[in-house]
Amino acid sequence: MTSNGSPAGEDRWTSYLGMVVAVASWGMLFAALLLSYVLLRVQQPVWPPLGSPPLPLGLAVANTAVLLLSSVVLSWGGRKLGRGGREEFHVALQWTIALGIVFLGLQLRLWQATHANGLGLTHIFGGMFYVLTWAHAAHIVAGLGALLWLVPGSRQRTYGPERRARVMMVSLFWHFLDVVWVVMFVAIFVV
Amino acid sequence: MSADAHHHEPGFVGKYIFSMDHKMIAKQFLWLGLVGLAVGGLMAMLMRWNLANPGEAVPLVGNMLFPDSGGVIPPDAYASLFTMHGTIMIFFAITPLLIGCFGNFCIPLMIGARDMVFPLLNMLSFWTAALASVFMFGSIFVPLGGAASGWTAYPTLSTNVGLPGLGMTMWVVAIFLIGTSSIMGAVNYITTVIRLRAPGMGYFDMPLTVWGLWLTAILNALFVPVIAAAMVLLFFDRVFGTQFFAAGSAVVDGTGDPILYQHLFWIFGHPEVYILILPAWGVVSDLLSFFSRKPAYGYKITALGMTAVTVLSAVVYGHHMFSTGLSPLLGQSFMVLTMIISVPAEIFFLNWLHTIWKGRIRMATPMLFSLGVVFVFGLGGLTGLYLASISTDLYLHDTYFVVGHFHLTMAAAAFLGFFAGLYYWFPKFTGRMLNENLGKIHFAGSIITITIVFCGMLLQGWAGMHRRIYDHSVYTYLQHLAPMTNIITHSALTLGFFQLFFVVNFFRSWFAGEKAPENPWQVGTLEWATSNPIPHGNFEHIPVVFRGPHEFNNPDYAHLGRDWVAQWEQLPGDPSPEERIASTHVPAPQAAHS
Ligand SMILES: [Cu+2]
Repeated sequence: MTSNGSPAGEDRWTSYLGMVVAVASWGMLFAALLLSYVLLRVQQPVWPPLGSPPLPLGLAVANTAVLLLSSVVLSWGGRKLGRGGREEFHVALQWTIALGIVFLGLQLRLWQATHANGLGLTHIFGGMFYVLTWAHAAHIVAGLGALLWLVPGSRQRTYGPERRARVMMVSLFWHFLDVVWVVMFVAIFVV
Repeated sequence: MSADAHHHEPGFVGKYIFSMDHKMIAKQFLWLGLVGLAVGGLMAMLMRWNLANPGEAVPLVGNMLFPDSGGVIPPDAYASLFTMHGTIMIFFAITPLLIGCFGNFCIPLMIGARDMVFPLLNMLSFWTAALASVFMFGSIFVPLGGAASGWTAYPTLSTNVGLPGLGMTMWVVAIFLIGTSSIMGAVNYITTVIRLRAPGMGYFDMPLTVWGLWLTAILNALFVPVIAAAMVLLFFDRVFGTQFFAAGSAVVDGTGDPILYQHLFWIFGHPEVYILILPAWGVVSDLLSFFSRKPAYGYKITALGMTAVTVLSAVVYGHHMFSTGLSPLLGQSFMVLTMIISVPAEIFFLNWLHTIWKGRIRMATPMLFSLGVVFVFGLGGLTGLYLASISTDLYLHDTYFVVGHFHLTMAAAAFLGFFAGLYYWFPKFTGRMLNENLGKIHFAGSIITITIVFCGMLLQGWAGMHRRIYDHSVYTYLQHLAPMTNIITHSALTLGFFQLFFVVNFFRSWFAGEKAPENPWQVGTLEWATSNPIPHGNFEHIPVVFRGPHEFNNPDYAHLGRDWVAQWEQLPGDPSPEERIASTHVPAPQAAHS
C-alpha cells in the first residue's frame, strides 16, 4: 500500500476502517449462528435436551481464562508499541500466540471429552455445540496465522504506518474472536 | 513511495486475468454476469415452453437436453430449471452486473479515486465469484441433477431427505462462495466511498449511483453473512448428519426446526431484494436528471429516502413468513413495518416524476431504459402492497401473483436498470458508442414483452394459479387460464428474441462501434473528467469538486453557452479549492493505490 502525497498516518485508518467493516460482517455470521442456537433452544422444554451428556465445565472455564489473558497481553503490547516499546510488543506478540495455541489445545481436549461422553453431531444440542465451537476455532486458526504474519516485522527498527496498521487490524480481529468466545461460553455453558 | 514506482507494465496474466485494476475487474464481472444472464434467460424460456405445452418435446434443443424423455422436460428437471433460473439470475447475473461491474467501474471513477482502497481484495472478490460459478454451473451436470428446491432452498426439501444428490450440496457451497465474494466487494466499496472521495466532494455531492451502490454494499456486508450461516448449517445437515432443519419422523434424537431456516433465509433475503435494486435506483435517479437536463428533484431527499429503505429493510423480513404459523402479533408488526417501508420508496419515486416533469427530455436509449425502470418499478411497488397485507397475502401466497410482483420490482427493474447503465457508460467502458437504433429496438421489444409477461402473471396469480406446478392442465379449475399461459409464453420467447438485438449491438460496437466523443452525454460527473481510454490511475490530477452532480440549465451559468456545468469546473463566484475543501471537510485523496 502506498500513499500519494498524503499524510503518512492516513493509510492506517483506511485499512483499519476496512477491517472494522469486515469484523462487522463476521459479527453478523456468529450472531446468526447464535440466533439459531437460541431459536432451537427455546423450543425445547429442557435444555440441554433430556439425556444429553454433561459438558466439562472446568475445561471451558480454563479455556476462557486463557483466551481472555491472550487479549489482555496483546492490548498491553499494543499500548507499549504506541509509545515506541518494540521489544515489549515483540514479547507480548509471542505470548499471545502461545496462549492462542494453548486455547486450541484445550479446545481439542474439550471435544475429546464431549465425544467420549457420547455427545454426537446428530444430537440437536451436540450439533449446535460443534458448529459454534468449530466455526470459532477455525477463525482462531486464521487469527493465529495473522499474528504469526506480524512476527517477522515486529523487531525491525522502522515501524511505519503500514506495519502499525497491520498490528491494529490483527489486534481488532483477535479481540473480536475473544468477545465471540465469551458470548458462546455464556450461551452454552452458563445459562 | 511515489506512484511512478508502480507504473510497470503488467504482463498478459496480470493485465487480463489476475488484474487488480478496478476497470478490468469490472469487465470480468460484466462477462460473468452476461453469461449468467444468457443461461438464466434460456432456462426461463424452457420453463415457459413447458407451461404452455406440457408434455410436448422442446423444439430444436429438446432431444439434446432431455434425451431420456424424448425431448420433453421431465418434472424433476422442471423443478431444477426454476431453481437454477432464480439462483443464477440473482447471484450470477444481477449481482455481478449491477454490483460487481457497475460497483467496480463507477465508484472509483465517479468519486474521483485512482482505484479501490484494497485492489488485491478486489481481485480475490472476482476470483471467488468465478470459483462459485464453477460450483453453481457444474452442479447441473452431476448425477441426480442440480438443486431443485427453489432459489429459497427451504428444508426439508433441500436436506438429504428431499434431495440426496451432490448437486444440491454444490449449490450450497456455491452460495457460500458467492456470498464471500460479495462481502469482499462490500468491504472495498464501503471503505472506498468513505476514504477516497475527491477533495471537496461531500456525501451529498456524490452521484446517486454511488449512493445506491454504497447502500447496497452496507446491506451486503451486514446481511450476506446471515445466509452464509444458513448455508453452513444446511451443509452440516447434508454432509455431517446434523439435524438442525430436520423435523418429524426423519429425526433421530432431539428435534430440529425447518422454520429456523426460513428465519435465517429471510433475514438475509429481504435485504437482498434491496441489495439487487438499490444500484438500479441510483443509476435511474441520475440518468433521469441527466437526460431531462434538470437537476434531480429533491436530491437529498432521494439519497435519504434510499437510506431509510436500507435501514427499514432489516426489520420487515417476516412478511415472507405470514403463512408459517407466525404469531399474529409478530405478523401484524411485520405488516405495519412493511407498509411503512413503502413511504420513503414512494417519496423518491415521486422525486423521479418531478425530475422529468417539464424537462428538456432527450430520448436516448439510456433514458428510455430508465423510464422503463420507473414504469415496471411503479407496477411492482403497487402490487407489493397486496402481499404486505396479511389478509390478501394468505390468499396470494405462492401464486403467480408473487412471481409477477417480484419480477417487476427487482428482476425487470434491475434488468432494465442494468441496460440503462450499460448503454450510458459503454462509451466510457470501451471508448465506443452502442448503436442507438438497435438500442431503441431492443428497448421497445423488451418493455412491451416484459409488461405482458409479468402483468399476465399477476392476473393468473389473482385467479389462483399456483407458482410451482409442473403441469397446470391437469387441474380443472386452472384450465380456463391456458390461453393466457400461451400469451405469456409467446411474449417471453419474444422477449428473448429481442435480446439478440442487444447481443449483435454489443459485440459489433465493442470492436467496431462508432468512436465515442470525450463527453457523449454532456454530463458533469467525474468519470467524464478523464480521457478515453482511461489512463492508468484514472486521473492525471485528482479533480477538486465544486458542486453536486446534477447542475443543468442553471440560469447563473447561462453565459457559458451550454446547459451543463461539470462538478470539477471552477467558475467565477466559486470558492477557491482550499476554501471548498475547508467547507466540505473532505481533504486531498487519502490513500491512492496504483
Ligand atoms: Cu421482502
